[in-house]
Amino acid sequence: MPSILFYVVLTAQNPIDNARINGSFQIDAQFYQPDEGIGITDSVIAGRKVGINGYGNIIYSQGNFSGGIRYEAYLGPIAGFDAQHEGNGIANLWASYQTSMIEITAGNFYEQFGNGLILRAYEEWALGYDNSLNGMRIVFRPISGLTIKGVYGTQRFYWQKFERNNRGIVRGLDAEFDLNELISPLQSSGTRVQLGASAVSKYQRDADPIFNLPENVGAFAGRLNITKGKFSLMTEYSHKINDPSILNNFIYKDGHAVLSSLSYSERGFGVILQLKRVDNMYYKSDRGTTSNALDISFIPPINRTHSYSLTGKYPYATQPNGEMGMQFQLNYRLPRGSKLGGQYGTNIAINFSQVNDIKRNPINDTTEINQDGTLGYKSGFFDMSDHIFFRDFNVEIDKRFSTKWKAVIQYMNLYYDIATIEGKTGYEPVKANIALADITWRMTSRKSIRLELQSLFTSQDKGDWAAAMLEYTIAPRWFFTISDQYNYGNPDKDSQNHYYTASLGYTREATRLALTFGRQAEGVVCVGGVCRVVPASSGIMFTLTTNF
Amino acid sequence: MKRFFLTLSILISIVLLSCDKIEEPYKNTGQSGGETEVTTRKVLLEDYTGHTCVNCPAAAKLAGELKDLYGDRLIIIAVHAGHFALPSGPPFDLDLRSDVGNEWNSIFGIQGYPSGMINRTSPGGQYIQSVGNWATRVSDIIDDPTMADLKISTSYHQESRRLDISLETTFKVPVTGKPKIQLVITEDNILGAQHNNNSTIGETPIIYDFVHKHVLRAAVNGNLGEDLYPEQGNVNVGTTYEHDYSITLDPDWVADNISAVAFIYNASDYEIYQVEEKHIMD
Repeated sequence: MPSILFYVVLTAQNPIDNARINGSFQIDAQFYQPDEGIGITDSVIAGRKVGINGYGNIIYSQGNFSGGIRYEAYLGPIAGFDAQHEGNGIANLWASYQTSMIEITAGNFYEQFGNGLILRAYEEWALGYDNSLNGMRIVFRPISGLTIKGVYGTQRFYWQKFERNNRGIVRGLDAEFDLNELISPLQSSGTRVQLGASAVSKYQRDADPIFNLPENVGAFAGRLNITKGKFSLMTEYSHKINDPSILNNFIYKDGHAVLSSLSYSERGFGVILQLKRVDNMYYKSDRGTTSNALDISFIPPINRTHSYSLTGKYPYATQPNGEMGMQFQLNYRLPRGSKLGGQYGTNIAINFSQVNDIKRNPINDTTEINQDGTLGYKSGFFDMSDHIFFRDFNVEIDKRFSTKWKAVIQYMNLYYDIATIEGKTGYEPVKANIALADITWRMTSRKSIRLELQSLFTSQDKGDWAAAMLEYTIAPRWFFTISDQYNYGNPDKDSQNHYYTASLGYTREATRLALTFGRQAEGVVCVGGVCRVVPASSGIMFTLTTNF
Repeated sequence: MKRFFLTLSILISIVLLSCDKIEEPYKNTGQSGGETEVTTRKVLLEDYTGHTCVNCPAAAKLAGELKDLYGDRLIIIAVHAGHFALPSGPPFDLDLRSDVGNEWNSIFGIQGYPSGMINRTSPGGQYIQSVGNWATRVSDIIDDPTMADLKISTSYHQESRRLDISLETTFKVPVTGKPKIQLVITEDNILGAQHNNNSTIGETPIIYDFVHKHVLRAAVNGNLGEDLYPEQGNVNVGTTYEHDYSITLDPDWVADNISAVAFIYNASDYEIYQVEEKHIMD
């Protein structure tokens, strides 16, 4: 590795025409202050008045070669990030050589096979999630239409260095065939077909005195994508052999996951139907960990990701131990000039998704369902439980009235099993209705004002909420925001709090700076169905990002 | 092309073959390592827990299974600390926290529950061991050579509830630095409510008559113990260091369920050299 660094230094001094350096930096800082009103006392802060997360990501490329370094510092981590983040150092270091036929990478890398059902290494800054692989990766394209990938390595676990046997080793192979490119008569066909197959195996030694554990656990997946005209079908099936772990209560049942998606789209109209079934599919490179880390597999969520504060208050977290779900979405554009479409057309989106638990049946008369050290349970492919984890029905209408006025209105009906999703065992599921309006007034070509009004009605959890936000933008550099979230329906009268904030942001070239003063309500942040709880806080938040 | 597909199929078979299909029995039972010799290496498992933590009963169950397997060689302390241990109104009105537990919780930065430490070792810089790794971690170190003898003698005066405890420590191997000695009191079999989400263990979401075992109650000689000896320098192998303590049991504690747990540890990295437990009524 030192030789690579040396090489970079040399070329920096003797710039070569085709050498390129790019990257990004980000610093997120929070300054905490006690705020008795929302339950933040000195003892909650416990002396940790400042949390700062930051990274620098630098990539050097020259011809076929590229190399990169990623530095991170969490000193200390922002509230809500796992305490194990605390530390600083080089998180990623890698070098890669790429031609049209082969690409080889040594060091830390990210990768995904198909939809990720049996392998996905990725990084998500907002979640504090990084399961990058540290090892080697080869991508081989021997002929047009065939891509083969091979990877092996160990996964990142915060700052803990891999040592013999302190966690597992991952290795995987993936092949993807593009039939239209492989088979010449199909090249001009209107039907595009892609096939993929992958296999992953993890090794972790067994020294457990109680359980007789598999040291090598394999998982396999096959996928098919067909596109014909305006139709598109995607499906992937994955299977995993016995993988007892702390997260499945040490049962020895095989696991599987299926994901399918059928869509049709044309100008102004689109529908998509997605289905999934997941059964016992936690797949981590340490069977003992309960941390939000070291996942080898990834179960994509099939729910709409909501971006407004109240529609996004109860986001779904995927349940790898078992779930069956579907999503349907329809997008329609009422044409310009029609009676309802108006002068500028109107967009309507209708979305429905529901996820249930799978049904589990006992393996015999004497064994409890999910008893450790057994096959756990039986569940047929179509065995769905009545237990609903999550349901979301929402309608959004997006309309421009004139060159100056534009509005989005949205309605959402939600069912959220907070006991399962947030682990708040014993809590009643949240049934909520949420409505919002988002109105933009473009005053001049540079200045605009945006107003968001939202209301959430529920009798469960923390009761009703109302939220308002006013944003003034001076393009392209400045924005100013004031907002309040008011928990007026909290059954605990003392907790009927206002969470007010004032923010400003400044963007220049590729640098963006944002500063927020005020309170942040306790909440859940999810990206791709992986979630993190954000505790309530009060104080100043600061974010600086720059790209080059 | 043919050669290429041959290579590919070989590669795929390698990955495919890397699979261990386990046949029954999946679980070892009926074994016992409970042989108590005069001197044995003993291991301390600290279970950081709380009564509103839904995954904690599963951890307690696992600790119990390890105790069944290793007998006296494994000593458990259940440390009720952090958010999930807060008394939060009926039925969760018990407060099983202790000053010493709160301090340990904060020193080791424990935020997730359940989690634990095994002899306060830190493989890869990591003190906190998630429950799924407890068994492996215990089995990794339990057969290590014994570094020191630690003897506990107790005498309990029922009338005054005064408990006298004497500790005798003798190192068998040289160690660097001056060790510390810590003495704490634990109470077994406290009945109380416990959140639970594992139906194979008991009622969900609440077990109303959960038996809290090995509950850390108090430190006798400070939250971090004290130096094994006053003078400077390394420990003398073969020398017996004696310590005498006295504590009056809290009126809420049931004397029949009280044990004294003592351990000696490395003052710089907390790693425990030896641990011993004595039920005061034995």
